[in-house]
Amino acid sequence: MTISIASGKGGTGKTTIATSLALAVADQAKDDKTVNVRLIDVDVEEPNSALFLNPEYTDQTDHNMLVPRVKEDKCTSCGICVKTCAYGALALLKDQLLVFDKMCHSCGACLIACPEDALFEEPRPIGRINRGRSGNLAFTEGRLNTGEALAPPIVRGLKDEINSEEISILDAPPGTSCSMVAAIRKSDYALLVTEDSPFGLHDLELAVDVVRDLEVPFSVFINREEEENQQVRPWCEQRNIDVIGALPYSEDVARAYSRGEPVVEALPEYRKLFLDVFHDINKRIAAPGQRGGIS
Amino acid sequence: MIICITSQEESIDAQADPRFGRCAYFVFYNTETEETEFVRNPNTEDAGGVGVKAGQFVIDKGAEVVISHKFGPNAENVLNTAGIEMKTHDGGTVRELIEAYRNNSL
Repeated sequence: MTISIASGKGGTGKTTIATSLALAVADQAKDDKTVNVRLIDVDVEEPNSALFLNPEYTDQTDHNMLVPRVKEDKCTSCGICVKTCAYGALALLKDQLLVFDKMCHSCGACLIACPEDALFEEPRPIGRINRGRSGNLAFTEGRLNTGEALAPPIVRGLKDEINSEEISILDAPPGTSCSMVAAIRKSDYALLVTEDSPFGLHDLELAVDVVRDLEVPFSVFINREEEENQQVRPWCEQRNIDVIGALPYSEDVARAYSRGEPVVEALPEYRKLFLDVFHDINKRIAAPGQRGGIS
Repeated sequence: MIICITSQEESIDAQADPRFGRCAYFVFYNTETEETEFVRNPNTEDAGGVGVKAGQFVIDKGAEVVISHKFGPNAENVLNTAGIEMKTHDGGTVRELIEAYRNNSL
């Protein structure tokens, strides 16, 4: 089972909710050897779940992208590869072919187009995938190398490692761009975390459009909720979108956050809230087509 | 010799386009014949890679000098490797920039 914790706006509390949800579920299931819970930080441009989980790392691997290289003796400088490349990753200067590695999307079109079979592919590391454990919780994260432009390849690399037998909780990248889409695509469920502000609501609306497009069933979690001037709840009600959890505005939560402590560990009274959210999601996955689903 | 200036419109008296990769027009000026050719930039709507594509475009057109307000790192890399001279400016019309280049005041 794969649950993505996503949001439109950044800073709404994806990591706060993802880490506490994962820890609460892992703790609940600790005596059941058949259940393994894993948090996967797929926010590869700024992975910060580890700040709260302090995992013990057990292994790491480079994540590579394939980039084209030229066999000088075969290249006739015809320029067909340059015209084929949609990303401006190739340039031909007289008889010298330049490859701009960071512009390359690894689509392989240049290799197919080359009439001389003068191109081949070479792996180039763009980031790392780290694996480890934090107590009962298994942990995987991706880290894009500084200066790299493309996050989706490493997001897809992380998702290729998902074991469908496990409960995987994904801490997704913010926004609604390619890396967020790559992260939540094919999830069994998405929990959209929002704050109750005009900005939060605006970006929630964008995120709802994305998950609907991807046909991922979803519901909403409100973070730092206050009693006055509520905007998200009425908006969701009008659209038949379920709010399945809310963390009230609390200086205690903020203090724990600032110390890098997961909410459920610093404030165990919230454990039940996160378990309820998980059981609710579980029921919704088991019985699709309920309110808040893809319709 | 051919020099290339980026322009906002298809006129010698148009303001120069400060962007290189996403400029509206490339103006190719032949210093011997004093002829100008305006070519619409084919890559303005592309999502990315326009610096490299624009560099390739002006190289293929035979330009030896390129005049624009600013060059991105990839465009600069392509143009440098091709041995093309890059001149920058802080504004003006295409005509003024051609004059400035001819007077060695760029």
